[in-house]
Amino acid sequence: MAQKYVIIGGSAGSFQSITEILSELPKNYDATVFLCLHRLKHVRTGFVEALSIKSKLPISEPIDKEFIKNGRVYLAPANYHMYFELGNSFSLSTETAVNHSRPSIDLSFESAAYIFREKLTAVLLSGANRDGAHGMKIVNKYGGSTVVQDPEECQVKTMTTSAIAVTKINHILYLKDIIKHLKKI
Amino acid sequence: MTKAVKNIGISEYREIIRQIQLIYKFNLSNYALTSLKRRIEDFMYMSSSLTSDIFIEKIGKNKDFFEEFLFNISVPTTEIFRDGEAWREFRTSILTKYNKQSKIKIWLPEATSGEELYSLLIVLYETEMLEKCEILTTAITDKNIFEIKSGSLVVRKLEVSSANYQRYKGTNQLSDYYNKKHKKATFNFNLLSKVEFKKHYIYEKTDPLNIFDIIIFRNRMLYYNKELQQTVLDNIYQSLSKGGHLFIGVRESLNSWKNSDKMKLIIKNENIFRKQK
Repeated sequence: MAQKYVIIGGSAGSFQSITEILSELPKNYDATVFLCLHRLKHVRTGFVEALSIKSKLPISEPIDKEFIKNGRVYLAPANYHMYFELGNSFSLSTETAVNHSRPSIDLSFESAAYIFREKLTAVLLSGANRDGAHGMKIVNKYGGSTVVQDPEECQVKTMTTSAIAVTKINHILYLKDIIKHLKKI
Repeated sequence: MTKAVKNIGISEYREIIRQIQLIYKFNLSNYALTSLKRRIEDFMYMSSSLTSDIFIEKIGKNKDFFEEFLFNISVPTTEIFRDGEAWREFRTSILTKYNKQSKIKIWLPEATSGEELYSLLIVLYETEMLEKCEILTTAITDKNIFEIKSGSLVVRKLEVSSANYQRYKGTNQLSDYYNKKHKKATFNFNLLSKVEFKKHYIYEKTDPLNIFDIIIFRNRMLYYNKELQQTVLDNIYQSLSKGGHLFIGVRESLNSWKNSDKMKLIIKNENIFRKQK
């Protein structure tokens, strides 16, 4: 089967959901998971450790130009944008913040959409600004699948409702169904 | 808000790069593709170049437009004292090694904006080492140099920079080092007067400009592919004295460089290396 990629974006109110997703994904999960989460710019350590507590998959923050491996979870590092390159590697950037965010979900989603095309599933969770909406549009454009957490369930709805407003979303789901969906891909 | 930029295809991207190489002998083909493609798209949008053909025509006709383009695709460094802890380590573990040396040569290659230089100047001033330092800052375009020399600071970033300075644990306040009037802030000219500037192209194998004790090259390699990293790191290595120090970004590495065993990682978390003797 072709390699699959999952990219998950979130900000305010998404940490619980992310840990829940990670605790449910099996040890032999046959995809690569990228997390692009809004986080404090100057705090470089602790986030991977906090997410690792319940995760069965190994989690790390990529080094620039590192190769992407299957069955791993990668977290966008603090104060860097996370891009993907042809040839299956990361590249990081310190370009201007987008939507006041670095890492920006829009940039990571857009780059993943372009590189992974229909092999990509993009998931947007609870969040407090519009970052991610434009990215979802590009995922759609390049044939990836789009999943948004049902705004009803989100602590902060801005991010998910913005995405729903600007582009077609394939699945609007509660968290428990997002988890089921990700297990099946 | 994200700008509504029309995406260019990979063949259009390659054609733009090829034409720039043909017209100006400037090789952009070994930049990291995804981020450069986006910056080109942004610049095309900014300059109202609707298609890649129109864009190439403008580049070919107008050298100033090309310089403007080069300036705009160079990524500025984000903040003064980005990674305050790294600068603290630089001060306490690296600079102290040079206490007894009468002259220290420092190079900042491919500077795009002033933040790294300003951070360095503050560190040297506070450790009373500035007088014995020879600092060279090189950049790809005259406009980069002009901007850095002018000392102009982005006011909205000053809050973050000040917080970084606190984490660096400086002996003063960051605001002691700049003048702020209305909505403009300018870095201290006295400190800047100690610096030599030069236009320099680092992407091809070249003879060293000098031999330096310390080279600060943080978050520049992010924008290269691995091939260009080899060339640039070779150049940097040639320009470093034996036992000299190289300071790279916290998420960068020398792993894929073929001579990486010649550099020893001495401050692990902050990515400070020493050239083996």
